[in-house]
Amino acid sequence: MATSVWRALGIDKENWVGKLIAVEEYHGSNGNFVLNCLIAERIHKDGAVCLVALHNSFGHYHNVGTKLGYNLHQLQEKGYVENIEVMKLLSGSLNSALEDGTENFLFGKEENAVRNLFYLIEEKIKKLVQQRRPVSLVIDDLSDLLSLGIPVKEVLSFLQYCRSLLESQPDLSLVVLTHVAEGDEEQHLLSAGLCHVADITVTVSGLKTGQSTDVSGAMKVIHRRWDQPVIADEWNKQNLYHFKLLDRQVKVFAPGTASSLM
Amino acid sequence: MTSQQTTFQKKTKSKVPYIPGSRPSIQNAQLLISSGVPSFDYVIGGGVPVGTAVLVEEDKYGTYAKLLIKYFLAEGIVCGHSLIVASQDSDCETLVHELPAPIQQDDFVPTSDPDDKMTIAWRYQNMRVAQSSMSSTSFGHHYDFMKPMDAHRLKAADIFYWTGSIGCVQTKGWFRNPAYYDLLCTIQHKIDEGQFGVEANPEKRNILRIAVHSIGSPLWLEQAEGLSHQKSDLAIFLCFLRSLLRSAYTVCMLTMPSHLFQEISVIKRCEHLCDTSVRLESFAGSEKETSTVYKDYHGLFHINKLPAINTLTSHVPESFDLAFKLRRKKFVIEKLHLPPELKETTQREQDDFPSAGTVGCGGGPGITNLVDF
Repeated sequence: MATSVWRALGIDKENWVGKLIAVEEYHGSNGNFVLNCLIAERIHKDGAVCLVALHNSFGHYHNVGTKLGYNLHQLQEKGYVENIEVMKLLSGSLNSALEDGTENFLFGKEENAVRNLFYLIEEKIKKLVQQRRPVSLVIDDLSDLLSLGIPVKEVLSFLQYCRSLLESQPDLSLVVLTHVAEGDEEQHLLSAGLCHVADITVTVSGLKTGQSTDVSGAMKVIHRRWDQPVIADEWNKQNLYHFKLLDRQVKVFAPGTASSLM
Repeated sequence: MTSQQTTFQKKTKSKVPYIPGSRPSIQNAQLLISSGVPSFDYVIGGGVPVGTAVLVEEDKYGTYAKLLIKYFLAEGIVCGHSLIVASQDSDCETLVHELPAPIQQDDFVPTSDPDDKMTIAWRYQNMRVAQSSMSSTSFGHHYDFMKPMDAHRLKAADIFYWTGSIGCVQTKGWFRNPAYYDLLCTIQHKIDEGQFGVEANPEKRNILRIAVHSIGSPLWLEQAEGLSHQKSDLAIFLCFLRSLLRSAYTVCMLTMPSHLFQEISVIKRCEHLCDTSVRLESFAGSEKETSTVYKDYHGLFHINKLPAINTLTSHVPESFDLAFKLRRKKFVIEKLHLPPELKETTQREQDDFPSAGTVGCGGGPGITNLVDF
C-alpha cells in the first residue's frame, strides 16, 4: 500500500489542501509512484482528482490504481475523476491533420498550446469543485511540454496559471512532476522554478553507486512552511529516504535499513 | 431463456487477446512480444511490452545495432506480424533481404531413443515432464545469419518500406524537418489501415512492428540549419510516437547513433521518452578489443532504462554488468564474466614489455631506469 509514502511526505498528519507538491524526478529513476500514492491518498479521503497525463496513459494509472486499491475508471464514471490525456490529443492532432488539415484545438498553433491546455484544466477543475470535495490536480511530467518544443518561459507561466487556481479554488491542491537530466539546462530551469514555489518538494533519484535489487532509489523530502512562524530547525527540513518499489506497494525506509540488510 | 440470472460470472482465463508471437508477462500480465533475441528478452524482463518503444543506442560502427534491428524484423516475419521498416541511411529493402532464417528447433535437438529409457525413482514417474528450455512455445527464435530468410516468406509478409519519401505535407510548423512528420503520418496511416488500434475490432488481431534505423543521424537533419534543432525535432517526434504506440498494438524499435550527437541532453530526453533504453558498446576499434579481459565478448551491453508500463515497478535484472557476443547462429547477451587468470606469467611479461622495448641511449639492456636517456 501507499501509506509509507504518505508518512514520509508528512501528509498523514498535515493537510495538504491548498498546497503545491513538486516531484522532481532525476534521470535514471522513476518518480511515478509518488503520483500514484498521492492519488491514492486523495481518493482514500473521498476527494476528487484531475489527472493531466502527458507521460503515461490513463490506462497506466488505472492499472496501477487497481493494485493500490482504487478503480479510476469507476471513479471517473461517478464523476470523481477527470482526466486530460494529452497523449491522446497528440495522436488525435495527427489524425485531424491527415484528414482535412483543420487545426486541432490543443495543438493547432504553438503559442496557443499551453493556453488551451490551461483552459481545458480550468474547465475540468470547476466541474470537480462543485461537488464540495477536496480536489487534486495532478500533472504528470511537466517537462514533456519542453520536449514538445514549448519554450521554458511558457511552461513556467503555465505553471503560474495553475498555481493561480489554488487561490481561486480553496479546496484545490496541486501535484506536479518534472523530469531532470544532468546537462539539460531547460529542464533544470523548469525544476528550479517549480521547486521554488512548492510547499513540499520530493526529489526522486537513482542511487549514486548504481542499481540495486534491494533499493529502487533515494527520495528526499523538503518541507517549507510558509504559513507558520519560522522555527530555525523546522524550516526547510530535509529528510532522506530510500525506497523499494514492489508490485503492489512501496516500501520507504531510512538509508541502510533495507529489509534484506537487517 | 434467462430464468436463472446470477451476478456470478465465470472468470475467464484472460482478457488479453491471443496474438501469435505474444505472451502475457508472468509478473504483471502485460502483453509481451519477443525482440528476436531470446537473451535480450530475458534481461529486459521477458520481452518487449506491446505499446512501447525500445531505444537502442548504436555502437560506434552501428553493426550490432543493425543486427538487433534485423532480429527484430525477422521475428516479426516468423510470427506473421506486420512491419514498417524506416531508414534514411540504408536501403530498407536490402535490409529486409538480408534477414536471417530461423533455426528449426528439430534441427539440432536429438531425438531420444525410446529404448534406453532412463529409470527414475517411482516417486517421480507420474510427474509432468519439466520444460527444459524456458518457453519453447513459439516465443522467440534463434536465427542463422548464414542462411537468408525464405523468399516466399518475405513475399507473404506485410512489409512497408519508408525511405524518407515526403508524401504528407506538413500543415503546421511542428517539425523543421518534414521527414519526421512524414514517418509519423505513415505509422498513423498504417495503424488505421491495418486496424491495429486499441479501439479497432479486427477479425484477427495482429501486431505492428516498427523498426526505425539510425534515427537522428546526419541524414535526418535539415540541410540549411545546423545541429541545433536536432534537439527539438527528435524529442517532438518521440512524443508523438509515444502517443501513437500507446494507442495501438504496436512495438517500435529505434536505433540512434548517439555518439554523433553534440548535446548529451538530447540523448537523455530520448531515453526519457522511450520505454526501454539500452546502449551497445562494441569493442571494435577500441583498445578493449585486444584486452584479454574481454576476449570472450564483442561488446558491452548497458541497460539505461526498463519499461514500467501499467505497473509501479520495472523489472530488475539479475545483473547490470552485461556483455554481448555474436556467434554464427546466435547473438547472446549474458552476464559479464572475467576469464580465469591462469597464465599469470604472460601477464607479467606484458607489463614489463614496454619498458624493455625502449632501447634508448645509455643504460644496459634490462636496466629500466626512467632517468636514463
